[in-house]
Amino acid sequence: MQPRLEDWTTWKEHCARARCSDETQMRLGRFARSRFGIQLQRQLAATNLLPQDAQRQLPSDDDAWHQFESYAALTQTRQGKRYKDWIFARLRQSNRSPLDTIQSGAALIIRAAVRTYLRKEVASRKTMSLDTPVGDGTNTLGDLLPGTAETETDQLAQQHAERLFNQLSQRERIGLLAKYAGITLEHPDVVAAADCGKSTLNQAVRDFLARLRESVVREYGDEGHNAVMAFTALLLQHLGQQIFSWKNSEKGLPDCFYRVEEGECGK
Amino acid sequence: MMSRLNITPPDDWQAERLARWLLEWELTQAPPEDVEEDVEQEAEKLPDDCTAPPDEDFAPGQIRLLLPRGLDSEMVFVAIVSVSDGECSCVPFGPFAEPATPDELLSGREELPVRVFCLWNVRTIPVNALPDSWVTDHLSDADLTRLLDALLTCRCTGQVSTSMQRDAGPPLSHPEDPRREYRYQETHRIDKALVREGSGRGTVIEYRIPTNDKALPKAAEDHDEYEV
Repeated sequence: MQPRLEDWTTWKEHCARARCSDETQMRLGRFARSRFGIQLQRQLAATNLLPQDAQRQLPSDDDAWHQFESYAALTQTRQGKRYKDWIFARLRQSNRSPLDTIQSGAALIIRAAVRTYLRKEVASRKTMSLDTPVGDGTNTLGDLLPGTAETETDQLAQQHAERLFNQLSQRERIGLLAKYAGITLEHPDVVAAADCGKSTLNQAVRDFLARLRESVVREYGDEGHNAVMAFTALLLQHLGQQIFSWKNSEKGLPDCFYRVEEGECGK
Repeated sequence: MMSRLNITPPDDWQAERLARWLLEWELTQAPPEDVEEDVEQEAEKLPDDCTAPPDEDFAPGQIRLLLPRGLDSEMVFVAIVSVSDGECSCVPFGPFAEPATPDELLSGREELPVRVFCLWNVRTIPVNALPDSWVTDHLSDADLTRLLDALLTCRCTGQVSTSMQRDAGPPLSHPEDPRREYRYQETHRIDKALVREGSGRGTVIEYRIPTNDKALPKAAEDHDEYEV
């Protein structure tokens, strides 16, 4: 019961699934539900941020189709539904069959629609603990969020960051620069500049971050867990600025670092 | 003992917004769908080109959907903020429903593909180098003025004004924060989407907001021109 090419062209022509024949409606609805189900399963497996009970029931054919269309349409006019043209314009770039090309375009939209569908799970939760682990669990939500510091505390963080920066090896600087710039440590330019493989470089950065946390706890541990966490995040913000200033003055860094800049990002 | 760290933990709304953003990010890390090649293709015939022609006249306030570039990219929408001296400045909309950083701003619209302005990713490009696109909707005058105001403030401070902070993302500090990888990827995604095919390597994409400040209306209602 896979859709046929003519189902999609009829849908495009009539501008709405409801205006198509019953058979076409059924095939398109099943397609949407099937792709929705695949994406739901894959996306749920990719996150720890959703509770286990988030496994929702698969929507009906009609609901899945509605999620697809309501995600992509900006308005209910033909102009607001240009996503249909977008799906068909992909044909010009494809050497795959028209049906595959059209359906993979629709599947990309369904993928984003499923993300929206699952997002409502978290949006409905009132509070989020700062101790909630994120990503691979190395960091928590609180680790990523600097607090708001008084001037003296901000200066303390800046001085601490300067001390730590001066103790960094070249390899650690390269690794941190890549991380601050969002560049994967697997990037060949990063590997060449650091003169070691991704795992070694990643470990060097992780070891440094562990030393940094220890130094903050040693110095300010009596201030309480939340203050230490917020101060560490603030310190890392200052360290980022140090790393980017170093990048701007350092000669011979690889091309991949060209154009990356530290945004002010809240400072 | 007197506290040495005078620091206020992040506001709840920041933690909640970041958690929602991180969820969306993690969901995008799911492997893409395997596309099964259809084996019964002999009856297939390419339909006549039934897509609408691209819209040519660029004007501030337009929301445009770029024609697809490659088969694995999601849709890219941009807001046109100025057209002047043969150049066009546009602000891309982000792929997520939540602003990631202090230089991303809720647009005020509920439709997901156009919910967040990525102010940091603004581009100024020669009009003749812009890729084909369709006008899909328009920003209201008030929304365009708000966007221009946010761009100007962001240029100076890296974040939106205090009155808009609740509509922006939380600050970025940690080197292992996934938002850093997101920004790197997003820079390249928009680079790829915004260069017209065949326009050559010489096409200039600049990372700046409109330089013609005279053309920018003030945030205040009178819409007088700025004095520069």
